[in-house]
Amino acid sequence: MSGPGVVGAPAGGLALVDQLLRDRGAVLARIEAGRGLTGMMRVFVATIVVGAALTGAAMGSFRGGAQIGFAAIKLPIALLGTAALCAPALTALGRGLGRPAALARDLALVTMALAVGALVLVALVPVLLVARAVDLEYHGSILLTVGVGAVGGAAAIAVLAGGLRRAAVRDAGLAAALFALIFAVVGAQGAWTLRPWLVRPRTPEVPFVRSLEGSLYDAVLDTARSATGRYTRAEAPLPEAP
Amino acid sequence: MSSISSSVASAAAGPLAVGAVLTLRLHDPAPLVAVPAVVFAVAALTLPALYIAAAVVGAAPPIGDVVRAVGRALHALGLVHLGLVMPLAFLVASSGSETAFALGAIAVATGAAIALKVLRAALFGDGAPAGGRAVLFWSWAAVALVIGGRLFGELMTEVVA
Repeated sequence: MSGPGVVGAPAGGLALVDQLLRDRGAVLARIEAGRGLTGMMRVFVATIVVGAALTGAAMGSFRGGAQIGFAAIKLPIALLGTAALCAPALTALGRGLGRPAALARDLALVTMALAVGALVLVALVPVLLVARAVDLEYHGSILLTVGVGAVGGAAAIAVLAGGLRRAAVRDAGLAAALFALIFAVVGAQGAWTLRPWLVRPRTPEVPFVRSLEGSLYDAVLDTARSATGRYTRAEAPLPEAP
Repeated sequence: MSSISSSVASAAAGPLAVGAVLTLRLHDPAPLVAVPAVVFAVAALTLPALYIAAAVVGAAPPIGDVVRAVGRALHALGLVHLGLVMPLAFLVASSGSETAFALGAIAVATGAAIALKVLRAALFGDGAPAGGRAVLFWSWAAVALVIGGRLFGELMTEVVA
């Protein structure tokens, strides 16, 4: 719940995380004022790392073993890598739409939004674990994981849009929508590159990442072609004999 | 004058950077020339028509304001393209050539769309232009986008093929 949004005394560590959950208006006001951005970003990044690692571990529990650690390492990398690639785009979009340059504030806003998203993901970890406990099958687990990610992403986008509107950025909605689209596209490709997350039950060995097989968007195009009866391979690959 | 030259510099740097990303991925120098060429050719070929048509219907600001508005729009286009370079480079790195072309085209079009929005605001004010001016501007914008899209496609087809 957002509070009145006064520029309060600098909060650090867990106090800032608590403020993120209870009074985001005050955190946004501090970002807008440009005070203590480095310290705040450190806390946001730590929140993202811890939150994403916990969520990744829960995802990896579908397969268990080394995959728990692999997914716990990969999810924070995917989120922070996407943020690093996309934050300059938010600044460029803002400047293109007539806003003064504010890369540090944009980076703080993006990491804040992601930190909130990561906290939402942590709140949904029990849902993933319940699915594991009731032995939800592979494709159901994939859909559930995508749904959990979508909820976390939506929460992050809402925070980002609120931050841009609060800063009275001209065309804040357009900037937020374009940035969310760029972030979603890059993030999806990042997650695709760092597969596997759950690991198919028939996979004998768990790799940290699969070998590069083109982009997510190539795969979507191939699937669309296959759906219309145009195949690019003579036959589907079969699993290797154990 | 310096603001015009900085506008031109950023307008050139953005499309050049997008073209460089596509050049690296497609292993062909054509995009490095094609992207800036499309931006400046479409601007040079279609903006006079907008000014003349707006002047005929009595909606054109003074020529100096039009030049400044165009500079602002090109500046915005260049900045947006520069901002999209890192995400684009990441996305095309593992994409096939057709997907890389499509992603590059989307990046170019996004910059163009923002530039059109900035141009409209700079020419006619922040509010939506009323009646005939709106029809005139958006008709011109549609024509410019079609010409730009066709030109970009033609310049890039052989590279992708």
